[in-house]
Amino acid sequence: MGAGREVAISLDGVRDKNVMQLKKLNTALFPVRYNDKYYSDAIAAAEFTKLAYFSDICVGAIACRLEKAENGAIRVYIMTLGVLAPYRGLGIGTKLLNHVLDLCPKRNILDIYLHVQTNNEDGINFYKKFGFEITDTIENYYANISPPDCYVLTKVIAQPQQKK
Amino acid sequence: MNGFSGAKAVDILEAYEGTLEDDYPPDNERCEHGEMLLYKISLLEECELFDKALEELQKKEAKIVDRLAFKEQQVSLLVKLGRLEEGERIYKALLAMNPDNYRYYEGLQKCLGLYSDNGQYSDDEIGRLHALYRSLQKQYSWSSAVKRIPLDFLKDEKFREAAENYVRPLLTKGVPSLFSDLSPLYDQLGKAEIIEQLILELENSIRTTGGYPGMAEKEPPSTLMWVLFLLAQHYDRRGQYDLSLAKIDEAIEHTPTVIDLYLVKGRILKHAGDLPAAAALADEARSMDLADRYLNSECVKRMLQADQVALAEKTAVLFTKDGDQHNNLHDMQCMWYELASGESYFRQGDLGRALKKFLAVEKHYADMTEDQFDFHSYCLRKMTLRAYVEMLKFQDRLHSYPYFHKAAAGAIRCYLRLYDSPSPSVTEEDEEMSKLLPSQKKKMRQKQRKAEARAKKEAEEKNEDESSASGVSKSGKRQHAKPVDPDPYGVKLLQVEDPLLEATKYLKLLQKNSSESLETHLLSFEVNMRKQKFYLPSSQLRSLAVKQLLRLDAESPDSHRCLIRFFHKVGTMSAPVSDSDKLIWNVLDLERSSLSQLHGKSLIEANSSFLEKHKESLMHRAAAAEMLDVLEPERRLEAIKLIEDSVNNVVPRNGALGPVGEWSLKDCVAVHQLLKTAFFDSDAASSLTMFLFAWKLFADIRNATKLLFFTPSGWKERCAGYFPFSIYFEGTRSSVTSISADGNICNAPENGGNHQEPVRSLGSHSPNGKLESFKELTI
Repeated sequence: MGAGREVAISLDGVRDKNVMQLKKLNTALFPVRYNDKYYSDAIAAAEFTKLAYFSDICVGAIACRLEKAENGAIRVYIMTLGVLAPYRGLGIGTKLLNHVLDLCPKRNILDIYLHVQTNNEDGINFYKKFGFEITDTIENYYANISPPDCYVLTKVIAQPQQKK
Repeated sequence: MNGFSGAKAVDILEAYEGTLEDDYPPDNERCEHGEMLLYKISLLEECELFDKALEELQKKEAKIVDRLAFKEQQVSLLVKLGRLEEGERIYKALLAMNPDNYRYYEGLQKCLGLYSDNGQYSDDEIGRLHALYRSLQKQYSWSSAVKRIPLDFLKDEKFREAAENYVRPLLTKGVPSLFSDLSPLYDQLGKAEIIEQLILELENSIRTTGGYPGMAEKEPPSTLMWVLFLLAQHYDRRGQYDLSLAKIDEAIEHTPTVIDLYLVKGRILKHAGDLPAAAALADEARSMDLADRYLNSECVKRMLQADQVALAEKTAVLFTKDGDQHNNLHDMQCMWYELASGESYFRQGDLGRALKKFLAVEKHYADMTEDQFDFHSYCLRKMTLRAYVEMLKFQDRLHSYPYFHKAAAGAIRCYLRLYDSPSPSVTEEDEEMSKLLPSQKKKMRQKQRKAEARAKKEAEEKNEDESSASGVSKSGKRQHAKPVDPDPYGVKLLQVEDPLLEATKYLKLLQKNSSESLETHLLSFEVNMRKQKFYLPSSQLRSLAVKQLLRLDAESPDSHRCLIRFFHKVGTMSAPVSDSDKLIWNVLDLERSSLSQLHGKSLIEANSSFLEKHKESLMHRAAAAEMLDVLEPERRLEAIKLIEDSVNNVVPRNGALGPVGEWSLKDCVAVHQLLKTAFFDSDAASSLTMFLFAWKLFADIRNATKLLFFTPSGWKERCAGYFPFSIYFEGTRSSVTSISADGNICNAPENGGNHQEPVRSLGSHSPNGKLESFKELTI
């Protein structure tokens, strides 16, 4: 933990009035510039897209897209999850991911998945802690970065009725 | 109010009290009765019957419902009666109710004999004040006032310690207004340096250990960003824009989501002289929270300062009611907006629309005067007599408020310019036209006529749209349609017969209500010089603009200019003919000899002694040079040399970082304007004459060339060196120099170093707050 004292971390939704905060984060965090569809998907995912605030400063975000599976069920795709460098190690990423994972069983979500660059060990280990597993490898997924391959990490959501 | 009418008013109120049964008001009127009693006591206080007022107050204590007002009135009377010990007790009771009220602390200090108006205290007094506030801090640990006030009177090491204790928790918490809280301290000698050192130490400590000096506990990651934010504002205040921008850029890189960082970066660029970049930054800040009206207003203001009026209008309208759009800003009496757009139109030479905006503000003040009639009967019926009297007093000084002053001064300037160059658009057009062949002229006229007709039609259609939109409200009820503005461009306002007469109307209001402002009398001077009205009736001599200016600030360069110009003009006029003119002539002569600046001196001598006295100051040198040129045009080269030889001294700084020149951007711009207009008009013929003249004088072509080429452009180049961010001087780091051939701004001020980034194509990934490209705004 970087800070010696408790600072409240709170989550807030993304709307068209504050979507610029998400854009600012992405500009700082990722080498990719996301298109308008990314942002409209993120807003459409409602509760599944969240900004994290560290004492009133927006420092991280999780952005998801809701996808329809063949059998009418809904899948969640995590488009981005990131926290500004100075604010890492404070449990903010965990809080964001847990928020989405907790939400899934309540909304009848089938599974939740994402793409990770094959050399991103920290990322892969982070998701494995939450029960994600490598289910596929896609070659030449990325156009401009090396290595160009990615893994697909997936976590099947246990449905509430199946519990216990 | 005189004592007699005050006493009379008290009599009437007491007669009214006598009508009450058992000297007690009905239960449902207790508040009103208490108000009446407090009003009566304030009347007694105004008549300076403090004993009687206090006695009455104590006697009626049970009947006064407003306990706070009772205590405040009581303490005010006790202090006036010199009963300071009792006063001290009540101030402490008031502080227990509200420990953040600065007036209570001031009152307490007065009761203890520890108050000075100019904030200067002896060492002994400082010691006692320090002890007082330390004990108060223990009592009111949650008050911020009690922690902040000691920073005003403490000095040196004690100040440093208190400032550090004050700043640390606020940086940890993240208080964006911290700098504006500290900024009054910068006016006190030496405190800025102490603040700089202490913030730099905090910065260094957090970077190396993660915590404040001497603390084991780590700071949250945001503290470093707030420290950088504070440092950036500090360097901005000190005029070190390089350092300031480096710090703010680092803060933005650390946490790019904090909106205040972008606002402050915009402000820094504004101070450094890059107004379009400042507007772009404010717009970036606005885009980060579209629901924030303050951000919207700040952005509109910056856009107007950068003369982007159309864009500013579009942005401002985002926060007005639907369908009513632009009128709404007027109906809401949004005066900062009207003033800022008036100023912008004025800068752009659109006098019609400038006047329209300035006069709109003037109209608001007329409305406020009218609106007071609503209160007369209401206040009497509700018995809110103290508030009523306050309202009346407010109305008495209504026209002395800064917004009115700005509007009136703006309108007067418009009329002056209108008088100097009547309808500039017509003459300019004529010049253009005269260069064309007759057939071309005809074509051009036709084109113009068509364009005008189109514009008119569009305006009408737009108005129709708007009125139909606002005509049908949500409930479907037809509302009274807003009257269409018949003169949206202020063309009719420009068609006044006598601009000076119009100017005089507003000038009179300024003279009556802002007689202590230098600007009022400068404007009065300009108006009267154009009227050629020297033969004032002797009763008006007292209000002679020159005399007023000298009274307010005899050492101001502007006062000096007016003094010399006035008596120079008087001196060049033909001798008076009529008896009354002769009389005034004599009076003026007498006036002249009574002025110490001119006593026993010629104007030329007065000018050189003014120069001698202020030879270190750029603006004074410029004024003396301009007057030298007025008095002795043949010494023009000498006058120019006076300006050329001015030295931008480095401000002495106690151990603080980096050199800073004394000259301000504003002054350097003013000098450039002076060089351009007074000494070198753009006319090539006069340049040639000057050159030949200089050649003859120096008998040396190199010197002559050097002097000649110390023309406005020489000055501009020199200032571009002092102010690299300035758009006006086209400094190397301003956004104007980075406009590429296709008009896109690519290379924006880079953080720190001189490296040039490769030009990126527009629309690519742009870093936060870097102004890589000015966004195409779509609203």
